[in-house]
Amino acid sequence: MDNLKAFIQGVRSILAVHLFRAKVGHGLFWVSAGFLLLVASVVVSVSLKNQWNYKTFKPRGQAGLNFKNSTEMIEAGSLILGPNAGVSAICSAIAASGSGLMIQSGFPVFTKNVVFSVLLGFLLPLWCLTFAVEGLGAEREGKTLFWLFSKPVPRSSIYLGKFLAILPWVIIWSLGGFLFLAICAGDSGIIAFNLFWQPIAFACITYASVFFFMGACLPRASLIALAYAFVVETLLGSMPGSLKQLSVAFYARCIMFQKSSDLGVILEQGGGYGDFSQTMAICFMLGIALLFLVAGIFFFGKIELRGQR
Amino acid sequence: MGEIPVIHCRNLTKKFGPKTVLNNVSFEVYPGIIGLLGPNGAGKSTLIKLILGLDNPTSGDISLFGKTKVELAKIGFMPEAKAIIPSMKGYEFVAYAGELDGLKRTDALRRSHEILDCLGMGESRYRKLGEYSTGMIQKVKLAQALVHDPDLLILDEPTAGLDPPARNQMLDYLTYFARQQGKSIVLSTHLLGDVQTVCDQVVVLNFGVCLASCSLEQLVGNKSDSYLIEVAGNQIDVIAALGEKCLSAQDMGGFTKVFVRCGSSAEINRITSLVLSFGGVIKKFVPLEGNLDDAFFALLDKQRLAGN
Repeated sequence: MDNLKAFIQGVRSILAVHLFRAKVGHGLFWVSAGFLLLVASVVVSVSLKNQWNYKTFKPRGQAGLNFKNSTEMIEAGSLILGPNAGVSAICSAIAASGSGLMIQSGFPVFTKNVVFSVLLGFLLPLWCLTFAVEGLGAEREGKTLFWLFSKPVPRSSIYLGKFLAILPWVIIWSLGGFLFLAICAGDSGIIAFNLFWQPIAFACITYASVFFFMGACLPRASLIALAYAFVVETLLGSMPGSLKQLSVAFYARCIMFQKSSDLGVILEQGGGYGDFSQTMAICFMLGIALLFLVAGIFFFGKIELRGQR
Repeated sequence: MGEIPVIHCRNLTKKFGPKTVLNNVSFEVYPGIIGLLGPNGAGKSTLIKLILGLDNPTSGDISLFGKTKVELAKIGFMPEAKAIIPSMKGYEFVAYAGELDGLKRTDALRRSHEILDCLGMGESRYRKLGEYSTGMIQKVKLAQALVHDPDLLILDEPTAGLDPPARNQMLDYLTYFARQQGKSIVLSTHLLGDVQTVCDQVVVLNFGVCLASCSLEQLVGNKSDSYLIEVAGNQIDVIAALGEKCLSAQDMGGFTKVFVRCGSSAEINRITSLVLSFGGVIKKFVPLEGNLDDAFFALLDKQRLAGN
């Protein structure tokens, strides 16, 4: 009973103190902010050229006409074939549907190129590790960990209190970044944000747990977390086959894939994103988060503070 | 002493892999101010971690106030490292420490102000810790260790980085909390002068071995048979006549400082007569005060020689 009381008091006190004291302004923060601005500037430039559509789309690796040219040619064909009313009508219909698709194609183009590739593949892990790794890593470096351990609160409460304190920062920073990119992209981006903010939030919770674990239990956690983000989330996550299931981003993509399918937009054929239902994907992500949280509490309880005074 | 020892270590050994950091350390210390002395790498920090229960000994055990289970709520710890949250105000930080020590929020705040008042922090308690000087940080660190009114204070280098007035003030606080408020204090430091000024007992560690654990008096009192005689007049003959009784002699110009060993008052009389009979004039004849520096280095030398 006393232990439970100490646990609750520890979590409450640590959360209250650290919730509004997230460490910003450190190296990783500026790196992630820099990448946000870089990607945002590219998104703005694409938006200004009105290119969030299939205008320039053509089958990968093939020379020749792009989508816009093809539509224009079909439209021209319908004029040339004027005397043949039936064929002309078919051509007009095809051209009209092509034009309509071109106008409506902003959402899938933005999602595929920005959300699926850049955001989930690189930016989101980077944004999440910015705050998560520093959670207990900063305590270690600031040598306040030894002091905290000398207090009569369980180590599990220190771990959980600090995790809960950084979690809102991770989610706000990541969703804020996503919203910023969405606004830069215009209507297509706003549609994507409204549809995908939930899977992004779930992914944030999972990344926060994974990176917080690294910061608390591993030396040189920032480097290891960056290596993880690049190797597992960027490289493995974009590989064909089932290897991509090792990445957290895969499960977020599954949810997004199905949400957009519900709207009638098929984002990527053959990616295996339809194999997991939304519920399963959420369970997987939260399961990973819980697993790392429990593992972190366990290993954090066994840390030896050698070299700390 | 008849009291329950504050700390009682029995055959305490701590190994990190093949390295033995503490080797069969046994001692007991009683209420008062206890100096924990030793050069870098002596094992002081490891011993503190074991006392705080932050690590387990490889063998042996520790009891605090007669109990083998460490009750952190009864201990206040002041780390050597800065260990502060720069964005917090002084009183907030101390209250935060109090809450972690088990106090309710309102009690923690009240105690924080009480203890900061006691340490003379005034209005500076409302400033952020990042703006504090070293002396103020040391005071806040002491305050956070005291906020929950512990029975035992463990202070790691509390006077490190302080100028002489601030150092004296800190030592005065320690004396006050020990003598007036009945706290037992473990003072881990490199500064032998601090220990000699405030401590009642000392534990000396070197290379993980406990070289001494006794009262300060016992450790430095081994010079009580040594005397200083200032001799004028026929100094050369006097020194020759004293023979092996003379430990050392320093020519001071008009007179000589002669250090002699006298086991009894009869011997003091005999030396006095000897000096006078050889034409010496005794300006001063006083017992030598014990000195912790000498005693400390003598212990280290003794261990070194025993090792050779």
